[in-house]
Amino acid sequence: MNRSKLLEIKDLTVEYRTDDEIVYAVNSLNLSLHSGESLGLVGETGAGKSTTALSILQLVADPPGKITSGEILFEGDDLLKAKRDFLRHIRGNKISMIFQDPMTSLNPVYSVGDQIAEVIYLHEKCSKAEAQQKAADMLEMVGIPKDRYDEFPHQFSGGMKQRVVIAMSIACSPKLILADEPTTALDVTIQAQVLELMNDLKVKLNTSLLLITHDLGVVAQVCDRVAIMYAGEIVETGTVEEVFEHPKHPYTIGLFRSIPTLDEKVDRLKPITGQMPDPTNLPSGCKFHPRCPHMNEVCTKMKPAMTNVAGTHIVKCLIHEGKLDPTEIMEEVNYVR
Amino acid sequence: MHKFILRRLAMLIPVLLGVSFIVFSIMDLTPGDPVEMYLGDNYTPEAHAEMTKELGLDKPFIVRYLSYIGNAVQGDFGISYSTKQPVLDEILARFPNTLVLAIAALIFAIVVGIILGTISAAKQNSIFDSMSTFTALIGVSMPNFWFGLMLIIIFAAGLGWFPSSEFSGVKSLVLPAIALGTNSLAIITRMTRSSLLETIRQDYVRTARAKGLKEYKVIIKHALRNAMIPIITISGLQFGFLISGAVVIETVFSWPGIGRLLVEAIQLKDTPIVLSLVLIKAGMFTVINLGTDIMYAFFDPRIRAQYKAKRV
Repeated sequence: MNRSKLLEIKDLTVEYRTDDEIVYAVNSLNLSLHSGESLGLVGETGAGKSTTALSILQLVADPPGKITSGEILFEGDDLLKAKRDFLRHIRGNKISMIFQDPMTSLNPVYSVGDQIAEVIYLHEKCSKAEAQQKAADMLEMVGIPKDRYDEFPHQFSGGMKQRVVIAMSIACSPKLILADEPTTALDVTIQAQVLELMNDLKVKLNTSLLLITHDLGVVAQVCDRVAIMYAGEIVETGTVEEVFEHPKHPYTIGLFRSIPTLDEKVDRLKPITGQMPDPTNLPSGCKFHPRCPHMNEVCTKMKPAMTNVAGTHIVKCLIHEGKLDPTEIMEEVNYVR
Repeated sequence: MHKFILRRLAMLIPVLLGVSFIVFSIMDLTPGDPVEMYLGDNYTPEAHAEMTKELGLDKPFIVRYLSYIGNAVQGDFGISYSTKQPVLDEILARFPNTLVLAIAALIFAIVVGIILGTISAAKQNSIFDSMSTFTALIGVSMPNFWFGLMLIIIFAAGLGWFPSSEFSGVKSLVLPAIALGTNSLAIITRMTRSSLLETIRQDYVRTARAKGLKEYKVIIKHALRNAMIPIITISGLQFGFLISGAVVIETVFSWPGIGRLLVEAIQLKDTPIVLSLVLIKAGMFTVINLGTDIMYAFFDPRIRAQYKAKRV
């Protein structure tokens, strides 16, 4: 791994503050991404994945959202301290974002072509006509005929709208694309098409990708590395092989166990017991301890640190930190795969 | 689109027939003798009878109504009982004044209202927002005749910047337009604020921000355009009120418009004038409504598509 770090997030903390309570959405999150690499950010709904991505472009709605501490280094510049003009130069140009719901993320009153041309005209020193020409080419690139340039979002299906959003996000050949559950709102066949498209474009344009999803299958298909997120923290990260072949964190193990296998007769799914903790009142110590099958006294008091277990494989668990008695636990932890 | 407009214009006919019938009935049922108005103080019973016949007032109600409609279709709206001039001349001499005043007041209300409402929404809960809310509250609750008088006292009598009552040019339009438009301004400000607050939270506004657009462009190009439909609706309604509701302001500023003409005509039981004025107002309302519907299509391609598909 000699490639330079394109994006590095250090100790990012984001809160949503209302009059009665504070939602701790992202808690001291650390994450890095090299150029040309694609990282899958996986976690349950409410784990803080989208908030993390929105924080990078500072699109967290303020109020109520507030980035309280941390650094987000993009090509060495801290975006959290950057001036507005610099940030605008980054947005849509160096870093672009694909939003979760294609139905609502396009403006209903402008033609799809013009919405793509807008971002090109904004960042590339070109005439309006050139921007329109390039926008038309972009539509072709994502498999939409040029002559639909003047049509409006309501004339497109969900999958086509998502293609338009993708065309918009790659229009200025960004260094990094933040894809926030790009396929969640689409049905399975369209999902496959969109993923294939993103894979192709990634290779063609050598773009880095931060893919947010709760679908481990999608990660396996698209990503080089994966980070598992729980209650606003990264609990396990490594290459897809490392994490998928040798999951270490009890939460990750639980995630894999909950996927039904094809070669086994199953009557009931095996979910992780319990609920995501209330983000306004997070558990002490390890945030996963109320749901963890290996919970020990020490887990309720001590916050686990990031522990490197092998290669680039890092886990945030007291078991792997050696703070728990290994004899009673390690065998059990390794029972899957 | 043309078919849509023609169809809507054709709907004017039943509207105008209905309105004219109702007003004709009311004028007929209210007490008072138009012939007395027409003849003045000194007349003989013979002259009264003769004039009644000449004005056609001896005929049954329905015959009078139908003949009025028949003449009106041919452009003859009758003769004013009080001034003995053709009604059409009377109205044409004064209607443009009212229209000019209403349009000036509307432009003032829309331009200032949208600007204030937009800043209010973009800077929600700021001092500016509270101030504009407070101003809007005053604008809505203040009687416009009083506000008109205050404007005259301060800017005409006191500072002498604008004329108070002489009817000449753009300068004489300023004070009455402000006095007339302030109420609508307050309503449009509030409507812009609330409509924009809704669109400003939409995903596509976040998309626009993610493109790297400047904040004012995000608000004006992406959020405001989507917030326009309710603003257009309320502005259209306000325009209707401005045309018909200028009576008080026209009196305060001695503005020679149709508002004052209507009040005078009702007092004198001058049926032909009243009828024609009400018909004009009803017609204007319908045309304004059509105008707002066409504006919808201009701002929203989905509505445009509906009109084209003749589904309306």
